[in-house]
Amino acid sequence: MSSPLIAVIGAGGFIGSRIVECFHLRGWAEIRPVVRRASALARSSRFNLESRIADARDQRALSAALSGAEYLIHAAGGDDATILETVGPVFRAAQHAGVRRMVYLSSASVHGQSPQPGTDENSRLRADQPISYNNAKVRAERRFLYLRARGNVEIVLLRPGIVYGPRSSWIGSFADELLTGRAFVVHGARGICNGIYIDNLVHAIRLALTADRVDGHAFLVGDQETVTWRDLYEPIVKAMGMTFEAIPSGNGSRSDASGFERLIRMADSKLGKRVLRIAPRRLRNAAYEGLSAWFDDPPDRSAVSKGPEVPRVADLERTLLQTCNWKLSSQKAERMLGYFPQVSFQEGCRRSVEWLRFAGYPVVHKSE
Amino acid sequence: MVVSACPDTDRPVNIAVLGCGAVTSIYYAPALLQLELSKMVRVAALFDPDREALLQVGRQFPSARRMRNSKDLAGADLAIVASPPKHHAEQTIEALRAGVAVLCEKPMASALPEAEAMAAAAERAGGLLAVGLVRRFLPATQAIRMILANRMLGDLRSVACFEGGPFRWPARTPSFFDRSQGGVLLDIGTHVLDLLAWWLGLPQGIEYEDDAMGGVAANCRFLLHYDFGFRVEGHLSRDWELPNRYYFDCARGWMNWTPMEPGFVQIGFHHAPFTLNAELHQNSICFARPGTGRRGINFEQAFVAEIENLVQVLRGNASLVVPAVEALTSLRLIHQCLQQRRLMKIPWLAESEETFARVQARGAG
Repeated sequence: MSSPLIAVIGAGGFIGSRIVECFHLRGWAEIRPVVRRASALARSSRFNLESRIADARDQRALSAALSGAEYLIHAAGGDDATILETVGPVFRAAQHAGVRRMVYLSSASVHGQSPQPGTDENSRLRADQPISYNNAKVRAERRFLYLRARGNVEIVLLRPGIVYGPRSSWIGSFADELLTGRAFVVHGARGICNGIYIDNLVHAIRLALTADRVDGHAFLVGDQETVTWRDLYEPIVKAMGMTFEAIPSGNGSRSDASGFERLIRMADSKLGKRVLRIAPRRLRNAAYEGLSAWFDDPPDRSAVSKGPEVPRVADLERTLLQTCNWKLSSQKAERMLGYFPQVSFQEGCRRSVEWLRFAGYPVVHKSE
Repeated sequence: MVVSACPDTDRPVNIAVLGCGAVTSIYYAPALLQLELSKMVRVAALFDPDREALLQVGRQFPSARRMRNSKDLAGADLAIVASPPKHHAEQTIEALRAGVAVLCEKPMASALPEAEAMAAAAERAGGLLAVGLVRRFLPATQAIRMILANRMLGDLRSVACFEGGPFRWPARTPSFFDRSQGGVLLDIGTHVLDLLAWWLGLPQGIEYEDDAMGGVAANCRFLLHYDFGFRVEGHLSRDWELPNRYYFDCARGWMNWTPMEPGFVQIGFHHAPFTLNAELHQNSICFARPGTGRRGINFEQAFVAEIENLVQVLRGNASLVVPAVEALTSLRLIHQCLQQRRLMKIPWLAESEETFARVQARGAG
C-alpha cells in the first residue's frame, strides 16, 4: 500500500481507536479519524493526525470528512437505530467522496450468539432473532449490499466475533464485575468463545482493504484457537487475585439445567423462534426473561468479593454466548484474504491483562 | 495591592463574560443567575465569536449587551474569562489594563510564560486576578486540608490519586485537543496538582510520563517526592474510567475522597473495625453548643462561592481564595512535569509500533 488515505468512522471507540493506533504507528497508511463529536477525539488526539468531526448519519458532513480518502473503515457502533441510520449516509458520502472500497465492521452475531453447528458465511441470515442487535447488523449488511449493487464503492463485510483486548468491555467490564462482586458465569463458562484479539481484527481489516476479488463478500474472522469463555475469563480472574471456582455459575440442579438447555435450544432453534414469534409479546418476553431470572439469587459469592449485594441477572445475550458449542471458522478469510491471526490467544490475553494494569485496575497476578 | 473596584455595596457588580462555551453554559451561567437574584451581580456583557454559543447563553441574560470584541469591557467591574486557554493571557491582560478585575477559568494559561505575564500584569495594574480552581471551595477539599495540616491521622505516609474517565466534556470544537491546549495534565491535572500543592506544599522531586505520541496525552502518571518521607502517586486519564479516588495513608489511619462526592470523606483508623463515612455540614450552634448546620455545598454551588469570593474581595470584605500567584504554583509543577516527560510503557503495542511511538513522543507537547 503506497500511503493511501484511509478514513476511519468511529475512530473514538474501542475498535476504531486501535485501528488508528495500529495503522498510524506501523506506518501502514495515512489515517484520518472521523468521530461523531469533539469529545470522542481524546484517544486519536494522542497522535498528530488530522481528525474530522461528522455524524455518520449526516451525509453532507460525512462527505466533507471523507474528502480525499481512498479507503473507508466503518467502525462506528451505536444502538440498533443508529446502526441502520448510518448505512445510507455512509455509503452515499463514500461514493460522493470517491472512496474506492469500504470495509464495514459487521458482527458474527448476525449468525446468533450461539450459532448452529455447521454455521458459516453461507448460512442463511435471519432478521427475526431474539436479540435486536443481531437483526440490526443483518439488515445493515443487506442494505449495504443493496446500495453496492447500485453504486460504485466496493464493500467488504467483516464479521468478527467477540473482539477482546485493551479497552474491550469484555475485559474491562468483566474486571469491574469481579471487583464489585457482580461477576457470574453461565454453565461454568464452558461454551465456546468465538473471540478475536483486536490486533487480529485490525490485520483482517488491512487485508480486506486491498485484497482482490472480495467485493461484496462477507468474512467471519476469529482467533486460530478454539477456546471457551472460561479460557478468556480465567486470566482476568487471576489478575484480580481471585479464583475461577469462586465465581458463581448458573449451574443449578440437573433438572434445572436440562430445562434451561431446552429453553435455550428452543429460543435459538428454527421451531423455537417460530413458536416464540407467534406467541403473544408478553409470553415471549416472559420466556426470555425466564432465562434471565434463572440466575437470580445465585449461590454464595463471598469468596469473590465483598462488594455490594446486587442480584445478578444473566441477560439472554450472555446466556447464549456462554452456551455456544460451535467454533466459527475463518477459512473463507484465510482463502480469499490471506488472513492468518498474528497474535495468539495466550498473547492476546497477556496484553489484555497488561492493559488492565495500565488502566489502573488492581492487578496482583503477573500475566504469563 | 488590590484595588477595590466596586466599593459600593448597594450596587451589583457588573460582570462581563468572555467565552460562552461549555463551562459557561453548564456552570457559570447558573451560578450567575443565582447571584443576580440576590442582586449581588449583574451580567452586563457577553462575548463569544461563536454566534450560536453566544445566543444560547444570551437567552439567559437578556439585558446583557453583546460585546463587539473581547476588549469592549466598558462598564464592567469583573471579567470572567472562560474562553479557550489559548486566549486567556491576552484577554486577561487586556481586562487588567482596562482596570477590570478578572476571574480566569483554569488552566490559567496553556504555557507558563503566559501565566507569569498575566500575574505580572495584575501586579503592575494593581488589579485583582483570581483563577477558577473551583475545587478549593468544596467542603471535602477544605476538610482534607485541615485534617492533614493538623495531623489528625498522624504523619502522612503516601498519597495515591486516580482520576479520570472517558472524555465526556461537551467540547464544541476539536480545538480542545490542540497541542497548544495541552493534554490530560493541563486539564484534570490543573485541579489535581493545585489541590496537592495546596494540601501538601511543593514536592522536592517529580517524575512524569504520558502517552502523547505527537499529539496530546490521554493518560499520564506522576510521582511527587517529598522530603518528609512520603510520595504522591497520580494517574490521570481521558481514556478509561479510573477508580476516581484520592487515598491518604497516614500513621494512625487513612482518608479517602471521591471527587464526585464533594461533601463526603471516608476516614478509617488502622486496626479499627469501622470506617467513618462523613458527610460534611456547615457549623451551627445548637443550645449554645457546636452543632451540625446545613449540608456543605456541591460542585455547582462551588461556582457561586467562587464568584461570591471575588465580589467580597472587590468590596474589601475578604481575601482571594485562589489568587493568581497560587495558581502559578501548580502551573509551574505542570511545566516541570512536561519538561521531563517520557513516553509511558504502552504494553499492548507491538515492537515496531513502540519504536515509532518513541520517535513521535519526542516531539509531543
